[in-house]
Amino acid sequence: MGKLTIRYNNPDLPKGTEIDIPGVALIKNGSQVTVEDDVLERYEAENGVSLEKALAENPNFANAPDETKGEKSAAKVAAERGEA
Amino acid sequence: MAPGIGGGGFVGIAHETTYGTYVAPTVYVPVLSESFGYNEDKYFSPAIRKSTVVNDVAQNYYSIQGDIDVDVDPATWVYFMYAARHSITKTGSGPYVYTFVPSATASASTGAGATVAKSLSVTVVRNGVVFKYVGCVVGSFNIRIEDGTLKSSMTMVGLGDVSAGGDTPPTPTFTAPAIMGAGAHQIYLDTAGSSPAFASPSTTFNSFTATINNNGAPRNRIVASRQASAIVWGEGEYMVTANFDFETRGDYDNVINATARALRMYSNLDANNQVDFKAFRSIYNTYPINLPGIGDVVAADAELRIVNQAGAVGPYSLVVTSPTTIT
Repeated sequence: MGKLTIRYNNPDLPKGTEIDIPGVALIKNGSQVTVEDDVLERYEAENGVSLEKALAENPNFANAPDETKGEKSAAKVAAERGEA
Repeated sequence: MAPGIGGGGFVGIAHETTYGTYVAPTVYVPVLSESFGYNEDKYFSPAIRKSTVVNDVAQNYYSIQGDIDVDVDPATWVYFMYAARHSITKTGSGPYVYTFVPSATASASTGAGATVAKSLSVTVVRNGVVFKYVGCVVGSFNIRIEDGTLKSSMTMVGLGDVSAGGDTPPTPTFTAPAIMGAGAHQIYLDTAGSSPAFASPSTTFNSFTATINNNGAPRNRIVASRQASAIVWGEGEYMVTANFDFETRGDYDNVINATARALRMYSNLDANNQVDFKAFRSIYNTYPINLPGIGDVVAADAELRIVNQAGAVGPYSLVVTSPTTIT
């Protein structure tokens, strides 16, 4: 499945505000985290939808993949699955 | 799908740019409960055709109605206050200080800018199923101290539901909660006026609920759509109910003489999270005092109606200090 780097930016909140993505990660507003593949698999099993596709429904997320490290954007992953 | 429980669900909101046009949630609000959704009185035709049971049904106009109950967290609650019937001012550069006073607006709308009221798109995920309510505003709401905590129940009214089968649940996100618990609150009573001093907090209050009812209601017009065409507001009925110990005759005399009082409820969690409610002129509507039982404290469940006060910013003012910036 491959890990995924996600960035969160909510302009209504101060930079650095800690944001809980339940079951996924704790991320600071204006920063990014990398989500490991086991978390992605568990998210999809629990929610019936891939994290990549679910992230696309939240406007505060934008992807910041480092493809040199094997990371893929949510849009790319979703496209590969035919979900886009 | 397997059964689901409430805790697995979540509620997301976003201010709308165009009234009634869905916006995906940018803010997720922890709720104690929610009970709002599709509301329709179906037409069951009573046409007589040799049967005592109705034969047919037709769809009717519908709207979105129901309640959302929350612990007041100024970071998220402020979004709802923009969707109530308020005139708004904003100051500060973080934390931000929002002053809400009642307006005489006739119907709900939305627009850009920190001083402009806004409608909400409300997304609710129940057992993995997505509901998308548009054109939602706060028709009435209360703020109350319950279990030592500041809470608010908001009766929402909205235009319609634009969700469809197969909608993907979004990924919710939550800031650390700022719950305003016991020790944060003070209640003040003072002489009615445009700028009461509220010098000393009262020590006799056991409960406090301010109910701001603007009688928000959907208006279904005869158009080529079943959803509501507008949300209209009616008479503003603003009340305070409170239980407090009966210690002097003075408040009883105030009831008899219709003497107005000013009320303030101030909740201060920290510099970023404050709620300051002031009613400048309120009249005791009921004040029942009795001997409830051999071991019970003599107290009164008073109800006060908030009326206009000449020279004041409004019948009430609600100042919310929040880390969130609304633009």
